[in-house]
Amino acid sequence: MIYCPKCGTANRQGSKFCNECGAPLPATGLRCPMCGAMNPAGNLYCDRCSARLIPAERVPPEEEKPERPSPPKGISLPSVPLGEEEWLSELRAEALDLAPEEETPGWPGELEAPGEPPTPETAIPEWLAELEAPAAPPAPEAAIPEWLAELEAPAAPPTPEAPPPEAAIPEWLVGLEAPAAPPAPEAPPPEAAIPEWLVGLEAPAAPPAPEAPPPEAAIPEWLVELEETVPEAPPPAEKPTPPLAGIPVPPSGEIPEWLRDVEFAPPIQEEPSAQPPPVAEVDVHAGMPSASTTVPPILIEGEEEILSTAPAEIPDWLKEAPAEAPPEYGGLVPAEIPEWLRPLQPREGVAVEEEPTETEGFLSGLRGLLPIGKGLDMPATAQPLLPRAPRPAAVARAELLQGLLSRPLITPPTAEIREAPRQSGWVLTRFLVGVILLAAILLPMLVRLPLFGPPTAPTAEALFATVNQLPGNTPVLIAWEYGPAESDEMDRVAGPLIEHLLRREARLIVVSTRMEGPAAAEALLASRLVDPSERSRRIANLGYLPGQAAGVREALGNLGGRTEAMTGLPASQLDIMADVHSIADVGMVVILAAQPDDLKTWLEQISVANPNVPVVAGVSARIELISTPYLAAGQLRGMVAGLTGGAVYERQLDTGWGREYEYYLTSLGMAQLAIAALTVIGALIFLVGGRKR
Amino acid sequence: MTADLIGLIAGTLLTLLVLSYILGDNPLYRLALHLLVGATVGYGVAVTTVTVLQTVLPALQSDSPRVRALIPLVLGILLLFKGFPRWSAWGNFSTALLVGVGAAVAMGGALVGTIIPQIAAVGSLNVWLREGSAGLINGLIVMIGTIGALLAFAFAVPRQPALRRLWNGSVGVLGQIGRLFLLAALGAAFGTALTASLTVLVGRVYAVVMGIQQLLTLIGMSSG
Repeated sequence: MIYCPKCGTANRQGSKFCNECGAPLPATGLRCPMCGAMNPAGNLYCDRCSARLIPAERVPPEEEKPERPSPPKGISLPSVPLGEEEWLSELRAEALDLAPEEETPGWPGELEAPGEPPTPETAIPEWLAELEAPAAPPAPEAAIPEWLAELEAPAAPPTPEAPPPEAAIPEWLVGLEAPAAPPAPEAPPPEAAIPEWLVGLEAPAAPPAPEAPPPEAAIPEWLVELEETVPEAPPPAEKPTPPLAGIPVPPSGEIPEWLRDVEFAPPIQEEPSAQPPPVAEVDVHAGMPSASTTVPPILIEGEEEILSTAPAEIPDWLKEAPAEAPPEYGGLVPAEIPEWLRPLQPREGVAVEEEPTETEGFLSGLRGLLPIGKGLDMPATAQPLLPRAPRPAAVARAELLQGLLSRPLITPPTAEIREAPRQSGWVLTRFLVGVILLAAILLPMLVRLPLFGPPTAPTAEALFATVNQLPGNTPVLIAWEYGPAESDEMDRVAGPLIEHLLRREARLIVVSTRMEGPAAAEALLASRLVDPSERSRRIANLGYLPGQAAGVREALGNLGGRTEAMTGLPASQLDIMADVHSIADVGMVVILAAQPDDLKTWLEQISVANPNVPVVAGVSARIELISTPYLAAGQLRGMVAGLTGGAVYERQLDTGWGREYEYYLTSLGMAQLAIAALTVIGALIFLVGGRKR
Repeated sequence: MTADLIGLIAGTLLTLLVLSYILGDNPLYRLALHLLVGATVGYGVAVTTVTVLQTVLPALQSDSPRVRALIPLVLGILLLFKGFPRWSAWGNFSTALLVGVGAAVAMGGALVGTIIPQIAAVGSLNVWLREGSAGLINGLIVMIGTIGALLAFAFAVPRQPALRRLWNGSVGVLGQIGRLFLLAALGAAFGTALTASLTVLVGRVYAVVMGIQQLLTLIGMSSG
């Protein structure tokens, strides 16, 4: 909670302005300039890094402190989760009830004994009457608090009688009594029941009292001086108004012994006409709760001195003493205020700051019980520890972040990418390239262009020689690894080779690891087979081999266990497969592949299964470079690569150059020239103008 | 009208639809594309089913030990659970078997069928000398190209200045030479791939021309 310095309203922690009046609220914490940790107000050094929170030169001197803005009017204690003691709850409730009705402060109102109804109509309470009764034995000196005894000393000789039993002392009075209670061996006061805050108040005023000490010995030097100045203070002409008037007093049986010497005056509403003696101004109760309550002067029986426990109740004489000549009271001249007391004297024109009222905890309703944290209001007057203006880099980052956050979401530019090719330039360029390619391909069909001579392919010639060496009726395993997508090229590669094998009376056993392979094989075989009735005797299409490399490996070891794809008959029932059970029974392996992986798979698995079987290949021009090392290493006995290799092989078959191959080769050459020309033109355009863009 | 003629006409029309991509993406090209993909998938499913059934069912009915057919059948059924996330774990064994066996077979084949023979072929000085000076030059080119291509991917250099200079003077030069070999190899690969594609294009154009000629003959506008 933060209390408004203007109206005192409690505001939520962290609030900057008062919810009630809008006044700015003081900061309740200090941020360390070194580590940035938040420290409670009043810290001079950081709890985390011990750096100084407030520059030494900025700590205002004591003279400037009154000029600082008013500190917050309350320091809230943390709420006590434990159950409040019953007597405190009742005291608070009654204090709240009594406070608006009477001018009396709160805490004397709380002095009411629990359960005892107030007795406002009686001028003198019963128990006070008992106190006033002459039969009441004088309080022994041992029962008088030392600080009271010191004040009492000049006129109150100690009485040796034993103190009455203290078992009836209520807890709330024990706390008051304890500070002055000497260590009596008999029935010590039950300190365990004293609240902590009262124990703290008790401590400073509880010096160890010697046994029957002389009154003079307990008087401090400064009091001795005062006492010398006022050796014999006569009692005032009139008794001051007993402030405890109207306050219910506990029954006499519960009155502590030391209080029995105190006389509670009857309730008189008049102001005391006589000034209290200067001795009363000595704040010997500095440790007592200095709440806003007006502590009533306590009359000690046998003495006329008035003890004031409230520093705020500084009598007027102290305010006016320096200004005018001190009046005499029965020949008693007020003494001058000692030098050390002058700072306590209220100044003219300076309003006394009102102590904050506690609003939480069991001290709620009391005022001035806890000191305001030192330096709580320091941030109000101190120089800002951090630079007021942010650094430019931080500002730039903040602006960048703000800009990014305020920017609308960017959708993927898929539509723009799709729209880009639809630009007229792109469409025109693509159309021109397509037209040029088509013209280059179609032109040889219309006009015979003797631009290219007969191709050469040594590898195809080597393959032709290898096939020529095959004996008749040799089983040849053909790995058909291409489909319709590559058939325009691969049919021109595989066609001459298949026809050559058929001419050599070879038995063709076709398998494929591609699903479309068997169908593509069947189409080409049917076109090259002169007599379709001989198919079952010359061709066995064993179909698709699932499992990639593992399937190939399995098929190479179990060719006889497969099924013919077209007829559905087991391979073992085919005449063509009568003596073929595995790769060991095959005279040659032909690999027709359009993809490099297919060629490698077959070559590798054949090398494992039967490295001695001759292997030849008909491959696409795409994998010619990859196939060449196998040819150089001797793993391939021959190879037909691309349309050129097919054309050479076709020519080796003595079928001559057909019109189809002439057209294909010429069109391919023209298309290659067109592509080369387009590449050069595009590169020139890029070098001239495109790179500038 | 024979099946070949129907196929020729259909092929011609589909080819023209695909070639319409010259003008950009259009519904005709999409139609041909969807037909191709659908036909390929359907054909693949049919072939696979028939092949598996032709392999497994006869084995189950034969007198041979049925365990040889039952084990693949069970493993195949377990593999179907991979299509359901909740029970996909049931197919792990089949997947592991496929991957493990496939990898083992492929690695054995690569070692015996590619790596060892290729190393033997490249590093054989006898082969080079047997072919005379041309073979020796070819062998040197292959050796330098192989070493240079490998060093072209060496990106680390020693920290010591002396070793760094030596490294740059030897490895750096060989790496640059290797990059030239890589450029040449990539260019040749592009050229062969382009040649294959142009060959297919030529074949398609030839098929379209033949198809149109057949259509004209069919409708009597051409004598064939």
